[in-house]
Amino acid sequence: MKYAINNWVYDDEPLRRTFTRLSRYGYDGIELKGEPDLYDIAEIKSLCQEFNMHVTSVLGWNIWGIPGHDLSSPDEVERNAAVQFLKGCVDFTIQVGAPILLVLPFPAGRTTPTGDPQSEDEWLSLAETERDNAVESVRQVSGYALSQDLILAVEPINRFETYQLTTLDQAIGFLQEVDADNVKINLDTYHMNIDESDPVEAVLRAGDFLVHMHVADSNRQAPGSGHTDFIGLFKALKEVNFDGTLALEPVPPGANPGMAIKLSANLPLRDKYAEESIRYLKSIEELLID
Amino acid sequence: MPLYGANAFIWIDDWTTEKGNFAIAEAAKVGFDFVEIPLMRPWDFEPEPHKQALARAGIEATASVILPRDSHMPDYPQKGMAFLVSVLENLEAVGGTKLCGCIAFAGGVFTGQGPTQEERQTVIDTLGEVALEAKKRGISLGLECVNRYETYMYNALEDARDTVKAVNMDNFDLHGDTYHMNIEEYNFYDPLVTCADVLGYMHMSESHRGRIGSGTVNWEEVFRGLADADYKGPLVLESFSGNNVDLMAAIRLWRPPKESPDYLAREGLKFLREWSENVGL
Repeated sequence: MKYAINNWVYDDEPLRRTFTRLSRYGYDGIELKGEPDLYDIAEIKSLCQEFNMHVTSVLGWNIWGIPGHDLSSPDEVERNAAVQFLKGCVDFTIQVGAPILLVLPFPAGRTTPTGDPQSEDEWLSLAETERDNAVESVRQVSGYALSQDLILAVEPINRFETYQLTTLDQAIGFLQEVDADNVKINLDTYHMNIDESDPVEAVLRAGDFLVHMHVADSNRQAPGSGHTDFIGLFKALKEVNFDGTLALEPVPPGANPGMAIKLSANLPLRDKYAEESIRYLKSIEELLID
Repeated sequence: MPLYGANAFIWIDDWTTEKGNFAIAEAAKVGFDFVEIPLMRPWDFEPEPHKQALARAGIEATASVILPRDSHMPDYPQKGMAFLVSVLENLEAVGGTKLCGCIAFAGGVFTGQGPTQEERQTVIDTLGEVALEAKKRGISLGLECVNRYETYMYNALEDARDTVKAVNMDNFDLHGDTYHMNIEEYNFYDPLVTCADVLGYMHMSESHRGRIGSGTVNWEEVFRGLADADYKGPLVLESFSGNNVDLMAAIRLWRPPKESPDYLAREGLKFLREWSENVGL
């Protein structure tokens, strides 16, 4: 199994420090928070060379509240800006040599349709419009990515972070509508614990669609600190011949992950989680070999 | 043997006089000992018809609340207390003896930080006064912990245990919920045992809020924990089948369960009874 950690959990820490940490604990690569403007591509390449690591993937930073990042918005200007932003992420992903760009078709953090619907009918109608928009936006970007031989992976996230696309079934339905060969699925163990009836079964059912995994325990902390059935998950990953990367996103306890990663009291947890996560997951891999 | 209760939202999408009485009748038909009334709007609650319906059905009632946004207790203790007292008056009028749920905070109110000592102290002081009011009416209070997306005040059971200890009233205890535990706790067993001395009320809810036993909650750990905690409180089934937009928004339930209310309730009660017997609750 290949392991990475997404650098969004380290807030604005210099990349060199992140590479040093991941290399020390034996990670194969790094997943980057997909905000291309944050980075110097030459620096990333040189760090990859120096530490003999690679960028496994980029997570398109389609977060609610950042203007021009909502692929599903009923506002055409906003939506077009978001499509342009994600095409920029495609370019960036290619430039840093990663094979996969993760996509949030509905911005993380927005849990109602735009426009404050007052009735169920109004809600459903706005939701349908936003869904059509998201399908069209992802289709446009997938065409652009295909020309550059890049895979997009759509990620379901839990109900408290979005009101659409919270389960594997919904992701498969979404893919059918987008209808593009280079659009696949990323599953996240933390989100699955909230919204899937059976996360292990979801991995099995995702099958070939599953090209990448996000990993944290049920309480979003390092694997081993919650109640996720990692043994079952690893068996399922083996059964579907998963050859992607497990990209970790362990976050310290707290109501707001954005705040939890910044608090100075939590800084020592960065090394601790990085060390514990890979050690725990590798111990499960070994357990299954025996 | 524990008492078994059911939250009325299994059957209805909103508590009105008519819908409430329907839920009371349904809960009795399935065999629950009591119905939990989501008493969210004390200002338009009519106790008398419900008191009669409960007597006809031969079951009891408890109430659960979520403080309104303008009554978030750390910021507006007086408003929070006034809301709870008004709920207590209504609950007393229907003959209920337990008020639980989000009694210390409003749902979905955040500061961007964790709870401060000052905020917790405001809650301890205010709920102490509310507990006195409740005692006069023969009612006990249960402080519920809910997950990080619904509040920052109390997420893990052990956090709330300190507050229950600080309030230090014999009619004030801790209200656990397996749905929230699934997101917040390290496992299901330890917190129940650690909080054994204060635990008084349990919501039994699946990881996806649907039929219990069909999600990721580790029920073996839950029941073993309750047994080892020597838990004597009630077990309250909480599955949601309603499609009320307010409720959907409050608990972020965008996908209603696939199964009918009656099926959720019957299978749920059977599940709770079997497990309770297994572990000797």
